[in-house]
Formats: sequence, structure tokens, C-alpha cells
Amino acid sequence: MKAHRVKFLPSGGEIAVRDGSTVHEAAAALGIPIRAECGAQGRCGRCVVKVESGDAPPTPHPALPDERQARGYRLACLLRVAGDLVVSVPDESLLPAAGVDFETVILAEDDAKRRDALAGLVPSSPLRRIPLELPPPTLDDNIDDRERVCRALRAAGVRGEPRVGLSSLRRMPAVLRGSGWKAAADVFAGRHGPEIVSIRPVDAPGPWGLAVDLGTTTVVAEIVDLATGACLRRAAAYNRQLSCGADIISRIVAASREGGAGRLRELALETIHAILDRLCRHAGIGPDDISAAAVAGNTTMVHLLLGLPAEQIRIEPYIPVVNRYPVLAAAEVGLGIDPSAPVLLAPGIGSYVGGDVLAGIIACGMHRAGETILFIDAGTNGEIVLGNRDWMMGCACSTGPAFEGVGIASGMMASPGAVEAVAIPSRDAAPSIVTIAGGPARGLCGSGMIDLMAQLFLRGLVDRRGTLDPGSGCPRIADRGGHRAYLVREEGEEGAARDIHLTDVDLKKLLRTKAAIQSAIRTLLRCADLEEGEIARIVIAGRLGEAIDAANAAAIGMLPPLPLERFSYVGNGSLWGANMLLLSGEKGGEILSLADRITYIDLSTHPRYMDEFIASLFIPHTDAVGK
Amino acid sequence: MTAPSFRASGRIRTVRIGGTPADGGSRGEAVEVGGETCLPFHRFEGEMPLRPVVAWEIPDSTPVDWCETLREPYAGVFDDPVAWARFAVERGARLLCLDLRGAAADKGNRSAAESADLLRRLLGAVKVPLIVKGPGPGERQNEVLTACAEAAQGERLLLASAVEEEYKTLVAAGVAFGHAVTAETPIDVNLCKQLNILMTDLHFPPDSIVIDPLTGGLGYGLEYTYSVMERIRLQALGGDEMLQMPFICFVGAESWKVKEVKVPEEREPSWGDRARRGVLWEITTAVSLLHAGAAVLVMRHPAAIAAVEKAIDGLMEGTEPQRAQRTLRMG
Repeated sequence: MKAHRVKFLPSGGEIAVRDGSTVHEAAAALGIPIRAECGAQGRCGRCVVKVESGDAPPTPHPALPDERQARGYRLACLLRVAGDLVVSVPDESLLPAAGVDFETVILAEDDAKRRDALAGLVPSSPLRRIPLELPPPTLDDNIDDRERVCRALRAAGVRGEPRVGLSSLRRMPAVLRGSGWKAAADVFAGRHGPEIVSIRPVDAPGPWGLAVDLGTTTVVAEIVDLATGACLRRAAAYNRQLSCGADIISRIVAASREGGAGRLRELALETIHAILDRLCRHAGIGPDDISAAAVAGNTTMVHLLLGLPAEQIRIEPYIPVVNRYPVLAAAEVGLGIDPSAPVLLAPGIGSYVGGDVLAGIIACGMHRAGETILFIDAGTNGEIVLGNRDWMMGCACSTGPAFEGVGIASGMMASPGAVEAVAIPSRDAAPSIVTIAGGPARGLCGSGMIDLMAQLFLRGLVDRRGTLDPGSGCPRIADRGGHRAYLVREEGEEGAARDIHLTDVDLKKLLRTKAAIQSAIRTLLRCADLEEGEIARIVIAGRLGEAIDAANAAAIGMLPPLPLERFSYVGNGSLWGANMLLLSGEKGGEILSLADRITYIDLSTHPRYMDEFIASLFIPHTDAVGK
Repeated sequence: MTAPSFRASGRIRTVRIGGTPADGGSRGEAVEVGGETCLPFHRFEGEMPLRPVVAWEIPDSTPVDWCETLREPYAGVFDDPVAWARFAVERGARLLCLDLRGAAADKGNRSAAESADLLRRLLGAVKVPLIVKGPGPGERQNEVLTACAEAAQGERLLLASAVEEEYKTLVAAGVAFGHAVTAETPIDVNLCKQLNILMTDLHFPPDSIVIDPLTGGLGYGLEYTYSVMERIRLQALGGDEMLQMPFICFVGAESWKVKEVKVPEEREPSWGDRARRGVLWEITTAVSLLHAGAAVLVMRHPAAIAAVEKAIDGLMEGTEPQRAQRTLRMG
């Protein structure tokens, strides 16, 4: 088999690959995060690289006009390596990285939401640290180390025969003797009795837990003090699986290919580990000090993390392998914390609604409310639950990653510099903008996109199909990259770090995103035979969160046009759910029982959904006019 | 027992095609369509004041793709659109549809000025109102239909067709020169309504829009169109103003392109005489669409047109559906 060398600039990374592999595969093997919203299938045209030297036949694609091909630009996913190559990767072809300031500024805002969501939760983690009275062994008292620990646990009131994992046994003698027999046991209350996760010196800080929101686009994690429930540190990153496709379906397709499941599992773990690494560094602890983890994500994300075959989720009749996951050991999952640490996974509801919404439902109290509540988690996989204490129904819709900044020309994650609010005072005037943390504008995040779309529509610059009107004569409509675009800020304009615009293509993606959410809400309401006005409260979860201007979202039809006081925001419900699993056996049980109470409505086979979707691809909605 | 009866809360708008001297035009008489407050021909439940109309299709240039069955009746006028128009009017046509197919780049590439000139000659030769159909959405159609709209100011043409991607120019031409426009969408109630909203958002009067729901010939998705037309009509009669427009169906073009009208009898003896088969195909397609609510049927074969006119007479005459069916059978 012939091999060739591919070198990537500006990183300088170099790798030998087999003849015929693609440049995208070579980059992936080096860990260079080149975009591929389509899953490297040659469709999205985002993985542009420039060939600096070596043989590279053209890669025809509408995104790459001939003149760019002539200058050496190619699509990495279509370019097959047939000789040594040097390619440079332009910034816009790389997945955006979430920086450190993202965590300090944005995630700090989550603290208040976390407090609200976990209010009333008395920390009673299923993982407890129990100090042990351990007399050193003597010739008379010569029971083995494990039995000595169990005896002390019994004396401390632990009932049942504790189980001990192999990795815990391996480390046990050193810790016991190293600490001068002043040790503590991290004991997990498992379904079949107590499990000794690890033996630590009695003065070791902790016990710590890791809570993970495993999103399709964004992954957020925090280190939690299991005794007090406090959050020690929080961090986020884009999901590295983005290089295998932007939405759930393309991920499943990628996982179904040979070696794909393993690759996606690795990418999910790499993402979590990269965050974990930062968390531990900042918190000054080691990953092995973490004794438990909880993960909440949609059904597909959890399947991919566990390396479970996910293809049946995509194929009728849409069956996941498992909805109620067993408690697994970190070593089995491949999670780089204490190998015996239990990993708790939030249960799924149906094939596309994951455990990520359950916490949000508990936080907003839908399961106890007499009034009807609409819960919306507008992530890449939009999840919506409608109901009250008597009934609940949920559905999932494919909203796509646009609101998280992926696939939008000037899109970015909600982080410092992101435009989170826009107002257009008059047709021709420069829009007024608000950026996160107040710095120079660097791009648009989800709430800014919603504002912008609504304001453009209300000022008559965008028609009901979401197309910019070229005949408006508005001086802020110009050409950007071959598409008509509205200029929020031109490079060099006041308050801008770079050119920020929204193109016709972006608007179409946003229109589909809003239509997916709107049609899902309308279908659920129809299933329940309710009118919009009968919704007492709308609770919004997810990254879009509080920054959403409900009036603007209603103007484009994404949310029902209800009085503003009926809207509330829970923040990252998925992450709070993971916290609940970690911090309270009771709340964890509540989450499990809630999963059984929600009726899953499968929109893909629902007779009215497609009709509703087409009617929603219109601003605000086809039925908002003429009746 | 009393049969339940459907009461509409809305009325289909009346669209007028053809400008008389009073409008600044030169048509002898205008054609009006629409106005229903009931499902098609359910006059026992509401009003259906206006008769559906058949428009004779007049190609602007020799339609070399037309089959033998269609060429035969037009033998003397096949190469002359003006003579063809006179021929149709002599046989009772109340409405014509000038098909500017020759303006397409691959079918003659006729200029906008030439097309407008042909339209002027046609308007001079006959007194009936005209539908003018462009070569298909795009730059060329915009150019050609705008020129025709200007040349026929006051004549209140029905210009075909605006589509979602290309409707602004046609709407502008309609507003500027006082013509009606057809709104074509691909067999979908929502898309249909959306285009009507988009057009009226540009201040185009809703009573100048005729819906083209798009159809296939019999056996080629006709039933799909049928049920979408039914849904549009039910929603319109239920009060949805953005769907209260009459329908136009291009029956001839769709019926005469299917395999079943082309295959000679020698190859499929069980299918019977090809000429008769073709005519029946066009009749069946047209009559089905009439029942779905079509107000304007653009057709090709004189024998099919005659039969459909007769069927319309029967359907309009009867107040009971049974009677209408009987008339149709006899026809």
C-alpha cells in the first residue's frame, strides 16, 4: 500500500496517509478540526483548504468557483491524496474554538440559573464519602485490606456487602498505608447495594462529581462538590463530532460507516476530556479525584458516547438500543476520571427526546403544575414538551446548529463579542447592537440572529419567505461572498472587530430553524387540542436562554405571541439534570419516573407535521394572513 | 332524513379577464370566473354564478411536438397563430391562451418585441379575451410578458405564470398595465397561499389572481391535484381570504404529453384507436378538474373542448348532482 505525507499549515502538523484517503481524513487523524456540516460528504462546501504544493485534481462544488479552484482551493473532503501534499487551512474552514473567556463570562451567568434550578435540592448524593476507623493490621487482626475496609463501613452504618471494583482494589493498599490508615471510602449507593468506588486519604478534598451536558453542537461540563452541591468550575467546547456532520442524522450516518462508531465515540470522549482537562487545571485537582459522573444528552448523543449502534434510531420504526441506561463504570465508558466511578446517564424518552429535557421539566415544575406549560429546549435537536401534572407529551425536531453559530457566515457561539441583541431603528440606519461582555462585535449568536431576522422583517427589508429585498435600496444590503447580505457591521465600522453580516443563505437556514420549532409547537398543540392562548407559561431552556427577545421571536413566528410575563428561562436544563442525578438520589428517581410519564409524539411519521412545516416556512406563518 | 348541507362562510373572488372599450381595451366581451359560495356545482348548497370557461390554446409558433391527433384538426392553421385564433373563435371559443413557447431560447428564441407584436396582431384579429403564457419562469419570461403587458394595456390579459422564485416582475407588470396574473405553485395548499400573500403584499389586487395549482394528466398525479384543489377550496369557503381565488388548469399540455395518448394502436391493440384515446384522455382530465373546482381549463383538441363544454352545460343546468351526472353520461 502506497503512503503519502500530508502537511498542514499553519499548524505544521504532518501525517502519513494511505493513497486515496481524503485530506479531511488526514486532518481528522491529526486532530485538526476542519468543518464538515454535511459529515464530509462533499455537500456543505465548508472544508475549503488551499493546496500549497503537490498534485491536487479540482474538486467541483458550487461553493468553489473556477477562479478559486485555479488559485489552488479545494474541498478537503473530496480531495484524495495521490502524492505528497502541503495544504493550508484558512480560519473560516476551522471549527470555532470556545475560548477561556467564554467560560468565565457566559457560564458565570449560568450560576443564577443553576441556583434557581437546584433550589430546594438538599444534597444527598448517591455517592457519599465515609471516613473509616481503620486499625492497622496486626498478626492477630490479620484480615485482608478489603475486609478491613468493609468492616469499618459496616461499623459506620453501611448496610449490605459492599462491592469493590478491580481498579479500586489495585490502589487500595497504597492509599491505606500511605495515609497511615486515615482513609475514607467513596461509596456509591448502587441498585444492588453499596459499591466502593475508591479509597482516599481522609483529608482528600471532595468528593467531586462531573456533570456533563452532551449537546449535539455544544458540550458543557462542571465539577461539582457532591457534599455541598456547589459548582467548582464550569467549561464548554464545541462537540468535536461536528467534523462528522452538524446534525444528528449525519452523525448517525457517519457512525454507521466502517469504523465510524468508534471514531464518533472517541470524538465525544475527546471533547469531554478537553473540557475536563481545563476544569481540573483551573480547579487544581486531578481527574482521578472525581468519583462520579452524570451525563445528559439526546438519545443519539448518548448512544454515540457509549459506542452503541445508533442506526436504528434513524430508520423506521426508530428504535434506540436503550432508553434507561444502566449505571456504568467510568472505565467501561472510557471516561478519564476515577476508573470505578459510576457514570449516571439521564434516561431517554422515545427515539429523539433525551434525558436532557427531564431536568428542565422538573426545574420548571411542569409535573406538578395545574396549568399547562410549554417547555422548549431549542438546541440542535430541538426538544419540546407540553403538559401539566395530569399529562405530558413531548417531541423532537431537527432545528440544526444555526443558533449555536454553526453554518452561518458570521455565526458564533454565545461568547464575548457575540452580538446578542439587535434593533434596526429605521430602514437605512445602522442597527444598534449589544454584544456579550460589551466588547467589539465579532459575530452573531442565536439571540442576535433571531432579533436581526425579526427586525429585518419588521422594517420591510426581508419578505415573508426570508429573502432580502434587493429593490429596497437599503444601503446596508450588499454582496458578500456571492450572496446578498445585510451588513450589521462592516469591517472598520465603529464597534466591530470584523465584518458581520447575514446572507440570504443564512436567512434560509434560520427560516428552517424557526419553522422546525414553530411547526413542532403547533403540532403538539394540535395533538392536545389546545390553542396558543391556553398555554399558561412558556419555559425556555438551552444556550439561547434569556437573551431571546420573546417579542422578536414571536414576530417571526418561532414562539407563540403571548404576553412577555408568561415566558421564563431555566438556562442549561440538560446540565442541571446531570447535577440532579449526581446530587440527589430522590431527584434522580424523579427523573427516572418522569421519563415514563411523557407520551412521545413522533413528528417524522405524524400526518400533519410536514404540512405544518411548509406553512411555517413563512414569516410569521402562512395562516397568520388571510384569516 | 335531511342530508347535511355545507354552508360556506367565504366566497371565491370574481376575476375578470378581457378589457372592453369601457376599460380602455378592445375586447367584445369580458370573461368572468369565480364567485362561488359552494363546492363545485353544489348549487343546492350555495351559489355558483359563473360558468367555468375553456380557453383554446394557441401556440405562437408551429408546435412541432404536437402529435398527429392534435395536428389533424388544425391542418389549415397549424403554422399561423392569427388564423388559428380566428379558427377557434369561429368554433365558439370565448377565451384564448396564447402560448409564447417560441420565446424560449431553445424553441425559436423569439424576442420580446416579436412576441408583443404577435399579441397585437391577435388582439386585432379576434375580439375574445386572452391569456398570455410565457416560456417559463426566468429572465426571458419576465422580459417577454412585460412587453406583452405593455403592448396590451387596457386589454386585461391573464398573464401566466408567477412562481415563488419569480413573481415580482409579473406582479409589477400586472399592476402597471392592469392585467390579471396566474399564481403557480407545486400542488401544495400552503405554498399556494404563501404565493398569494406575497403577491398581495406588493399591493396586487387579490381579485386579479388566478390560482394554478399545477396538475398532471389523468394517471399522472391528477388525484393529487384533485385533493389539493379540494383542500384549497374548502379552506377558501371556510373564510381564508388568501385562498379565495378561482383556479386555472393547463389541461391540454398535460394530457397530450402522456404515453397513453402517443402509443399507436399497432403496439397496444387493447388500448384502441389512438385518436379517440387521446381525446378521451383530455376530456377525462378536464372533467375531473372541473369537479375539483377549475374555473378556466386551457385545452387543445376541438373534439375534447366540445365535449367538455357540453359537460359544463349539463353540470351548470342541473341543481342536483344526479341530474348533472346523467347529462354527462348522455354527452
